[in-house]
Amino acid sequence: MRRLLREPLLHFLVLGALLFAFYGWLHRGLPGGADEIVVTRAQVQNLEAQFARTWQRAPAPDELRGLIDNWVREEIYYREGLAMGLEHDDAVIRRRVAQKVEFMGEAQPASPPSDADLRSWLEAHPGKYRAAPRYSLRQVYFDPQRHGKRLDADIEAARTALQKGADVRGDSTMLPAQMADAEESDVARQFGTAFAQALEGLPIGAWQGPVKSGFGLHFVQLRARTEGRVATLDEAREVLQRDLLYSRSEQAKAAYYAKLREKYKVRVDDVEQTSQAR
Amino acid sequence: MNRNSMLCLVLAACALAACSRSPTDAGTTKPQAGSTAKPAPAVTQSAHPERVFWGDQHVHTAWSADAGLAGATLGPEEAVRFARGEKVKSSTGLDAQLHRPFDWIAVTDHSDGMGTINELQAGNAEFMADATAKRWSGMMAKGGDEALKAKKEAVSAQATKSLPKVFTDPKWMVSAWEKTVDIMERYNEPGRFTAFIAYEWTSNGENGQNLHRNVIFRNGSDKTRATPPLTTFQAMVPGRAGTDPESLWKWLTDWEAKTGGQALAIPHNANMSNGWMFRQARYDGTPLTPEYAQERSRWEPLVEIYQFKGLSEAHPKLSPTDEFVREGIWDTADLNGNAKKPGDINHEYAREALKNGLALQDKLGSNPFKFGMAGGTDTHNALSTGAEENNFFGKFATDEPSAHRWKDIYKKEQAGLRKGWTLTAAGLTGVWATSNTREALWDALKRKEAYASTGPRITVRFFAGFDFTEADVAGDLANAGYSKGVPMGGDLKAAPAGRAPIFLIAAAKDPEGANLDRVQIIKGWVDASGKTHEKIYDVLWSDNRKPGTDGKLPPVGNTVNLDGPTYTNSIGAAEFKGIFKDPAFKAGERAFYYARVIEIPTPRWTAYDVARFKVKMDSKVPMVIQERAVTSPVWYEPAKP
Repeated sequence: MRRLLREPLLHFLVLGALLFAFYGWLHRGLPGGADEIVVTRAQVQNLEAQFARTWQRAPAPDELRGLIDNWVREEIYYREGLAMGLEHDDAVIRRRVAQKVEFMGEAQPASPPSDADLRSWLEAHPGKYRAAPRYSLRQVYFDPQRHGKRLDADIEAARTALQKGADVRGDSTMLPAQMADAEESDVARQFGTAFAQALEGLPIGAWQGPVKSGFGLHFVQLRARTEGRVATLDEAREVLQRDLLYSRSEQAKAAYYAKLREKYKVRVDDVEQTSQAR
Repeated sequence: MNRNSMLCLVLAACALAACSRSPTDAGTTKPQAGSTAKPAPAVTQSAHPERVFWGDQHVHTAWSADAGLAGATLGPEEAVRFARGEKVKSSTGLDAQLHRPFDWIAVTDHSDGMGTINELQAGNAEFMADATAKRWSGMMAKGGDEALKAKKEAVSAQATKSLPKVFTDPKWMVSAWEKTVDIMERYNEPGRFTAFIAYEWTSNGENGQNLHRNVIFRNGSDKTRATPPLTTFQAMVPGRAGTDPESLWKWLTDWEAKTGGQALAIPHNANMSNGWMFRQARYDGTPLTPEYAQERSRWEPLVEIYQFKGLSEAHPKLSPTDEFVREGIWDTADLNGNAKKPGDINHEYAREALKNGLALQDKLGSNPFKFGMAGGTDTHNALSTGAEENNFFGKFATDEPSAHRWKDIYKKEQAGLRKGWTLTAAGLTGVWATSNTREALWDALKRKEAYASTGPRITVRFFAGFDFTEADVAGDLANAGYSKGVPMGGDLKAAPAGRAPIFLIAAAKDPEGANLDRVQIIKGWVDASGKTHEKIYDVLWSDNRKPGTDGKLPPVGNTVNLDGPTYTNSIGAAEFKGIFKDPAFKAGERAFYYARVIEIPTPRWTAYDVARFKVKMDSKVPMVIQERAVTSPVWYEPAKP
């Protein structure tokens, strides 16, 4: 008896029977078999709810009858269509079903990652999570077009004046004459990226330049600079969490596809190499 | 679906997916966004708007049914990451990244059909959030004995009525809307980047007349998440169609009353409405009413005039003297390809509608077409690239960069085949706001202190008043503008005796872009007989040009070299500043004025494609454009007689 109980075949049979019973039990509650259509209570409620959303009232009995008839008609056509294989070679259905399977592979963001997770993510991507440099500056603008041939001479005169501590107005402009504790990106937004990047190498205090921008030439006096640095965990926590979760979900999607892809051998005719389709 | 078939589905899904989830995903729970209120960080508000915040209020992702079916794979999260400057993989597998990130975005997936695509995904998420279900799925992943054990446990749980609640909860499906809202909450960073909660209400009229509106909320998850967007399948006004914009306005009214939130709507592609967008009749053809005029101007402060499917500021046949509206016109069909009838274009272009609105005000008591200007791309691949001709990813996934996209058939229209090259890489909105937050940006959109750009980030100040002087130009222009006048989007009250409106204007080129050709002021007005007129004034221009005998300013020139392609800023101006007084003002005539700033010629996206893909395009394909920014108008209202 003991040996019999250890017999794999018996296990197999018992499990098989259980499975059979399980599915039988499941299908017992299913709405109808292949040639039976059961409109469940839940389905009826669903139709009623849809109607109410459109018309702002519950359907009258004959209207509900009509809704159910329509649903049944659609179900019959749908089943007949499936029986005829009409879902095959239909680009819309193919893409739709593929999308559904793809969506199943999209893992949802997990519970918040631990601080250790976030820290190692931060350490792996220090360039992405920076407290940008900040600048306090004054600038004097020269529009080359307004000076024409006099530009060089005017620039030199302005340089001399600035070095002597004189007040030089420069050309009138919408650009700010000064910025206080402005983030590098705010400087770039006003003056352009090249100008903002040039500030990195400028000494503090004395008038420098001219520095080129998208608008023309500028004398620049840097009054203060806060160097850029990698953000701390606390500063970047929310962003780190968001990016890490996003990355995990991307990885999960890729792994999901890779797993499915393993099941298939792909041969592409008339193309030199095997499909590298992602 | 009853609970048994649900179980079946979930188990089948698990089996199908071979339950390949990586261990890091174990114990997933629903994202917390929306439920955990983060403390509102203090964002500095300036007294007056000091900065323009640039963004796109019209972005579709794979979650829009038409976008997904055309092959888009990027969802709202990718759309927002891209707008923030992150690199993403496009739907066709290309690396995509903006040269310059945006300050804000509104992802506007279609409400019709929203979520039908990702219901399964959402349901799956709930399923995976349950510890037991999750454990079973892990066991099934291992296959073999473990999998059998899982099934056994499930049978037992079913029999003892102890199945996890997720299997039986009829509300197990989290809608696409809620997911969209949660994503926007995650990426919205007050003071740094604004992710609006938004959707597109997509009415195609009776058979293809484009009456689409982007609905943009001022509020966050707490007010928006619980209310799914309105579809056109649902008629809010008894006896009127679900596709009638009045249905949307009613919904907005109800929504605001119910939630205490605020929302606005921005119509687009009037040019594909076959005369319906600015029709002087209600949707059902009956005459306009005072209530209609009030509701329309209440809910629709802006109209999107620039986007991928054409430019609709003005039409060359309606404004024959305007040499700057001859390109980028899509006037062949409605959204379904139905040909236009004569006269349809009279009700499809912003300038004409603004003029008609002035005349309608006498009949209706208020102006139904009192709107400002917005731009947006209407991308359907989640990549908002209208601002960058040399980085144009097209409208649908099928229009992403390729050697042949220029000659691909974009649409079959009754009038003929529309080709890919006709797409216009355009659509950006600049917003003069006091800070980069949903509230400040939305308030600026609502008061029309916003403007449309075909792409470049041209800064434009535009004020109107009666007391401006030259000194205001030289001094703090913005301060003078706000203290002595009204900004774009505002109203000028009746003129003091003998005075005419004076405009204070400043424009600065895009710091990374091309110089400016000129600044124009465009005036529209209605005379005593009810007839409407328009006049374009060249106000400021570069290179010391002299207007010809016909009064026309000569073209600025063209530095574009198609080998490359390149242009140089050796012509044009970096900035313009000045004042302009209406020389033909009549105090009794209702009018509007808006400013248009034109760039020097630069290469069109097609020119970049020619160079990149070494293709030769038909000679009719334009290679050079003059990009521009167009401000919202200021309206002048005469004294009551």
